Amino acid sequence: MSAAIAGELTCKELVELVTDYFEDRLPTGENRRFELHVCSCTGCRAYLAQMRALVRAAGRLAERDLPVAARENLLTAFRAWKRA
Amino acid sequence: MLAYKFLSAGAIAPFTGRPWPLPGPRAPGAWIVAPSGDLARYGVHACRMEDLPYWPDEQLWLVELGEPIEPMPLHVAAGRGRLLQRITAWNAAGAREYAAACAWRARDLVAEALGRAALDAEASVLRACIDLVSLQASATAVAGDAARDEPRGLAVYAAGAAMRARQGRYPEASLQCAHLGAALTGSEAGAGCERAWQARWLAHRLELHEIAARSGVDALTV
Repeated sequence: MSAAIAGELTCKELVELVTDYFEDRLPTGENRRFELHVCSCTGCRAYLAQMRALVRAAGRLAERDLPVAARENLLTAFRAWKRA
Repeated sequence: MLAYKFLSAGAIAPFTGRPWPLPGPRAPGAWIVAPSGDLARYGVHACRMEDLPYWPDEQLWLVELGEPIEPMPLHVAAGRGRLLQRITAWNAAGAREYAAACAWRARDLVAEALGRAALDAEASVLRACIDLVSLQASATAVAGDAARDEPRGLAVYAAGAAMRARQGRYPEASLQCAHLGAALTGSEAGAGCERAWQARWLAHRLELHEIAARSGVDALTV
């Protein structure tokens, strides 16, 4: 949902701030705006939960956990994306 | 001090992910103590009645807060807090009812605005709606392609609130009403008025005054 009230965070802004939020780098006022938006937006609430799950899962992975085929597929995709 | 706290399913704090200790049959839950330092940021956060519409979640609890207590613009920050009792009327049905109330409130505000603009036919169409499906359809039709700052365009907010209420998305239904309040008045104060209306609705429907009064004098003092 887009902002209609001054100072209200938009969904796009929330996505841009999510890493800083997780790393506790947002100023207190910005932190509160972030959390207020999450409470008013079902989509961003789900997004935040997904990001939390992703961070937890990724934190448990080591490089050797990735199967060779999956690693190659990812590298191919990244190279194609960089060429695009 | 008594206050209210929205928690996610399982009495989990929505942002820290911390589970709150549950109260027993005759005893409050164990105290949660905030780390020392910046209370505004890391304190135990809770709501006064007027703050409730800003922080909705799956469960609502009556909590006791302990010193230090700092009132903030949209919440209260405290050094410690504990759960006293769950407000059981805030459940899936109560949340749906709240969302619907917000949608009908949006309908009434838009119909009044249309009436003031001498658009009585459009106002009548909205007032004739008997359920959220017809409200969403009629409000969408009334809005047409009008800009949101025109009287007819305001119907977009009623349509949006009705759609979200039908989907059970009470946070967005109430936010639509706040946005409508801002659009009607051209200022944030209008949004604040709608949030105040929502707080009154919640307090009345969930009998918060009665629950706080029944919780005992001891709980009112820190």
